[in-house]
Amino acid sequence: MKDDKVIGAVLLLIGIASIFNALQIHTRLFNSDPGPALFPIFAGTILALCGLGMMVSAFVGAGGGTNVRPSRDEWRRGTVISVLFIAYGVILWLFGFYIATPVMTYVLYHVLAGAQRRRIWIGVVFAAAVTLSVHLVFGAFLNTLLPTGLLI
Amino acid sequence: MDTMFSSLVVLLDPVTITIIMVATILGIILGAIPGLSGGLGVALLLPLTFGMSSEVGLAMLISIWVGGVSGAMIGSILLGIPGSPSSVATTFDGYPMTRNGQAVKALGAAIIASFLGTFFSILIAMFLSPLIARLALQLGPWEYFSLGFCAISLVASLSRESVFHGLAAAAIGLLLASVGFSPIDGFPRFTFGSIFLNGGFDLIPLMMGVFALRQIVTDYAEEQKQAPEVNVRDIRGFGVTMKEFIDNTGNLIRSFLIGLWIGFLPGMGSALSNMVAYAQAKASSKHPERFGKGCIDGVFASEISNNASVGGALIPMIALGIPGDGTTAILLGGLMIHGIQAGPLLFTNNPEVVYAVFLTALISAFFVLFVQFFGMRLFPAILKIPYHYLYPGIVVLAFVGVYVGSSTAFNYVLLLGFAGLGLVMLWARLPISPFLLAFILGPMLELNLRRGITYTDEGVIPFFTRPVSGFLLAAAALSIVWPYVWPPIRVRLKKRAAERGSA
Repeated sequence: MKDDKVIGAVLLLIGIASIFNALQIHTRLFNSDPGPALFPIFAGTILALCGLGMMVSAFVGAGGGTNVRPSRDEWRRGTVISVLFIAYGVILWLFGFYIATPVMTYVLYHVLAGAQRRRIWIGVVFAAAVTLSVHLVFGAFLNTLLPTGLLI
Repeated sequence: MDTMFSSLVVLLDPVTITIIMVATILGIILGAIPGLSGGLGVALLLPLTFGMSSEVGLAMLISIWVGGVSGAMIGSILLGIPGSPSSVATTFDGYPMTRNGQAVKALGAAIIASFLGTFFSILIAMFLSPLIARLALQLGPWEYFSLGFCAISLVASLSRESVFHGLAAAAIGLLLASVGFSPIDGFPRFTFGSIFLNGGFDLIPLMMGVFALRQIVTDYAEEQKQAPEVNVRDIRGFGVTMKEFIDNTGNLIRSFLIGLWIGFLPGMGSALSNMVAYAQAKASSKHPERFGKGCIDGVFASEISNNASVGGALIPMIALGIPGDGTTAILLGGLMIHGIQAGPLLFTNNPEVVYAVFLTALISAFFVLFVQFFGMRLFPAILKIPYHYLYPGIVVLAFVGVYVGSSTAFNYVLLLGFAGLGLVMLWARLPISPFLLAFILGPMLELNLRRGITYTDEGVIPFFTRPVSGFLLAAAALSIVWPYVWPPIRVRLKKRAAERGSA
């Protein structure tokens, strides 16, 4: 179980780092108060011990299960959709809901439908319908503030 | 009794009953939409009650809440995305049932369990509120910390991977929960100077990231085009056989009591009860290996417990004036706005309000049953939507949902970050349930840990010496070591039995 050795080592390091970081906090409200450092130390200790346990289990061969290894094609598709999510976040931040949502809804439709099933006009109507529905539910009915763009 | 009947007459007024029905349906819809919840509906519609009488205003708010808790299972079962934290555990078996073509059966089980949970918890709350509330006052920070820790360790130890994987996931949740201002003294931790992190991580981006976006990335990467076809023609009644129901009697009663108990503990609520009930159902099951693969027992456990928390949460709110969870805190605000002070004197000063609250919840539970019974054959229509239409809609809802609660674009970063974390955890086989439970309970755990140490000069000793707290910590320790201790004992017992048989 090579993966568990690596995962265990990473968790052990994160646990130690969080304990070390928490130890830099020196604030106490009362004499008997353990202060704000206690809880991160508590959590970091559990994490470090679990990381160590995973490593030891993997070394003695007691670890079970296997980590899924995506194929090259799965990596490519996963990366494409992840980049689209990031792009939606950035465009939403810069241009706001009313520009980002129709554009990115269409792009997501275009990519997810694939070459055989996509129709441009259907995608355009679908993007407009999604944008309008969200506007009506959140903006008009619930009267909440929809994302406004930094540049608008 | 006269007061109860006069409250019932007010509630059965055609206008009031219409308000209750519309509010219940609205709650179901809000609960079903990922990122929204009945709690949000209560907050948004609170100003509308200003012009209403206190009974009618409260009836509207209670109906949205009850509808929201029950409606949250729709997203969990059909999309694998919990509508609210109260139905996270429903996804563990509800969604696999959908993937196995049993969406209607899962919905039927959830609807029955939701109704039973709400109905009986309200009945108990109605008649035993003052008595049960007195019990809650006996508990201190030691018991609250130990209960939370026991719940986390129980859920962590029952994960499909090793206890180390489960506890590591819980520890990551606790670490993330400690980001931001600490409780009691407000010291900023792990904020790296960012004002956006001062308040800690928001739960909505976390849930949307680790459930919705992660699911879409993995489905697209694995070229999933559409959910399997659901056959609704052969379904009779609720789609659940009497045998399945009878087999789950013990599971239902235990999960109901867990939900009721956790619901009435201030600061806990349905977000915790569904996880604990699920973990207990798995631990006590004769076939725990079926859990997580589409086992109806898991749906029963989760849904009856989160709805039992509705009645449970009303007990401290009505009897003590202490909110059981976030939504009851808003309801308590609604009572105050109408000039009503919740607490022990409410039963003598405003008994009509007390009965209006309980009776509305009962009426609303029947509406939920009615609406969802006729809706359960229609809800799976959502699964007929091809993913290239469904997923862009969910992505838009996720991004808009994380924004509307806080009005900050920083939540997009959190949403994407948590989606990435969800993918890493999936690869590393770190389970989501203990992670999420630890994140939700983290602030409560820390507050009670520090209070417990500060209240006496004995430090951490009372955590172990107080009977209830000590019992819960012992149960937590046992749940952690049990997967390692039990297998060799079982082998030895089997060996001994075989020796006796041969002799």
